[in-house]
Amino acid sequence: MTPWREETIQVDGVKLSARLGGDGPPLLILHGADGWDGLLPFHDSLARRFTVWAPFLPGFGESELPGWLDSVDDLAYFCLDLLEQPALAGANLLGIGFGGWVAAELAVRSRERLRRLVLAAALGIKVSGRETPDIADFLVLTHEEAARVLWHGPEAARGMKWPGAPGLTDEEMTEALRAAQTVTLMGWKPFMHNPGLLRWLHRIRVPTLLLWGESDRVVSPDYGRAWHQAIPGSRFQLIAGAGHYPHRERPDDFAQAVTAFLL
Amino acid sequence: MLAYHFTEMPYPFLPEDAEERYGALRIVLPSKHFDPRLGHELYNRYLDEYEYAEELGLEIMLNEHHQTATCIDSVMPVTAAALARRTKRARIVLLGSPLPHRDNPLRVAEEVAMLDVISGGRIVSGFVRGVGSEVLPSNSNPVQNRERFQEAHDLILKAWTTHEPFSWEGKHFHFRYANPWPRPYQQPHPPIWITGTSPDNIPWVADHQYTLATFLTPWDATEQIFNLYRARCRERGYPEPGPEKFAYLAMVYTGETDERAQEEGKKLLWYLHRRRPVELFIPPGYVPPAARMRAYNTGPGPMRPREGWEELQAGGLVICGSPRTVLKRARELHDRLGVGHFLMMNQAGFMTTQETRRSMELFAREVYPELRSLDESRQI
Repeated sequence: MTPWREETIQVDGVKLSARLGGDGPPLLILHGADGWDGLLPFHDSLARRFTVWAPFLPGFGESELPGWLDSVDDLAYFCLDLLEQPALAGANLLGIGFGGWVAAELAVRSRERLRRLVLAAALGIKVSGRETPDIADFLVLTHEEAARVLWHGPEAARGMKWPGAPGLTDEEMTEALRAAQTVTLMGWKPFMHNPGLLRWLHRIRVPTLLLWGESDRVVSPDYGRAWHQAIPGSRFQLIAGAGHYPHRERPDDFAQAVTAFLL
Repeated sequence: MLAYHFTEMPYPFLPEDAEERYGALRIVLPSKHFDPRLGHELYNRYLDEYEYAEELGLEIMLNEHHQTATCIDSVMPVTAAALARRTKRARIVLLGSPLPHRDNPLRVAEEVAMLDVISGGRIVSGFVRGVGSEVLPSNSNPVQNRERFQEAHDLILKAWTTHEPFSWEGKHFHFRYANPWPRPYQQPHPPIWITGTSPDNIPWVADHQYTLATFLTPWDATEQIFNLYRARCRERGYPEPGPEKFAYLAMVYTGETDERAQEEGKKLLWYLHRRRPVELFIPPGYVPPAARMRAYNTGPGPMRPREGWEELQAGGLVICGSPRTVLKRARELHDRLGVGHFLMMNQAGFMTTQETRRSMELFAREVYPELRSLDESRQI
């Protein structure tokens, strides 16, 4: 197991809590809407080959959320400022779900600090017509519904830390609800996407991998293929036996795909 | 003490399994279950009851909700406009305009001002945050609910008190030529009422000397909320707030005898027994995470799951009985809580127009004269 160290990084006057660990080229991971509960097995796998930077984004986990930071636009610039840490020169970037949206927004603004990019189950673009939502409304799901929608297999969903799920401590529940509040603040309307982002994805001129669970029911594999088409030279890869949480449901396959692409 | 007639204008004539099948009667209940012909009868019935309230000497209170069978008064200014023309005396309390859910606050300023001018200054302008279940129908960001409320309020007040074009470049609202016509009849603007139970917000209501209203809150909690208002006034050296600053909404049924009222009044419970799934009714950020967690722990049950008919009456949310009993409870509301505006939800669910009118008549004839004489010397 990787020894992880907890660090507080100051970015734009905001105290960001992060876990750092591993050895190798730098890899910054932007977590998804569910990223409040910290390190998972895939972090350990990736830390074998990379120096992993796993911050809690503002408004998640132990990181504070300043009043002025209230959009994905802000978050993208904020993460660009985070990337100016000397150790993150030429970093690889992995964004998952909501964090994938942030990573893409960041990359269309500036690819200066980036080496390679992986977007997994990313939210953030609009591809279908006005009466077809591309992104399932996960905010209104009960924990029973979330178990069916978010995961490939219901057995994997057991122990899922979703609001209202049995067995959550009050502290975990409060953290889950705080995370939901943060993504709501930044992604309520338009729902979890930027209508203009698709047309600027061509600006991501670093090698990019789109990584998708084969049975993602929040953002479908076809939605992932739309990303793939819009990012010149990108690759698209499906992970079998995974839904919207490939990093949780198939951590080894996930880490292996990321590692193979980045190294 | 002034008494106000109120109904949410329910549309309860639904398939028996509707709530079970769809999960709730709000937000997700398909509009195919609304029969426009039956709706026509219901709207006119409820409007007739409001006109009857004026005949009986009562005042009028209106509200609005959206995408719900529990309240088909979805555009309150439309109802108010109909009543502004058909009534001549009664005060019409709009309680209220759901500010965070309206994309154009100047439109709200216009609606209220027009109603005030048409009615000759009989409008009370209530402003509300809107309950959590309003968030999905309006698709207004629940995390920014309070700041949208605040900015919309500030803009409307600015519009009512600035009698020439001005510029507004706020966080949520932008106008280069804000200059709404007409101005309100009551100058500088109609009285403003605010609903609220959140301790954070009460000082703000007191600072503006607005009337504070609570709906269906147990009296013990209500007393604490009203005392926060009073404490703020003392602290800041404002005049001691009288009954004109406090409004309370209860479900009310007046019957011939206590026994009959206890039987007949139970129809009001329909309103309180509706399912309220947390995921739809309390969106993220509408309340802080800790408060939302408590809602999860309570579960998707009705509004007052643990309180039976007797407890609801003991808590004061329901006032039901003979004229004597209703008078006693309403006087307590006045004497103990200092309430000057008695908002009466006289109708809910399947309660018929005959039952509603009978209860209103008994109240108007045998309860109201004594209540009306309380604080008569004060301008309320």
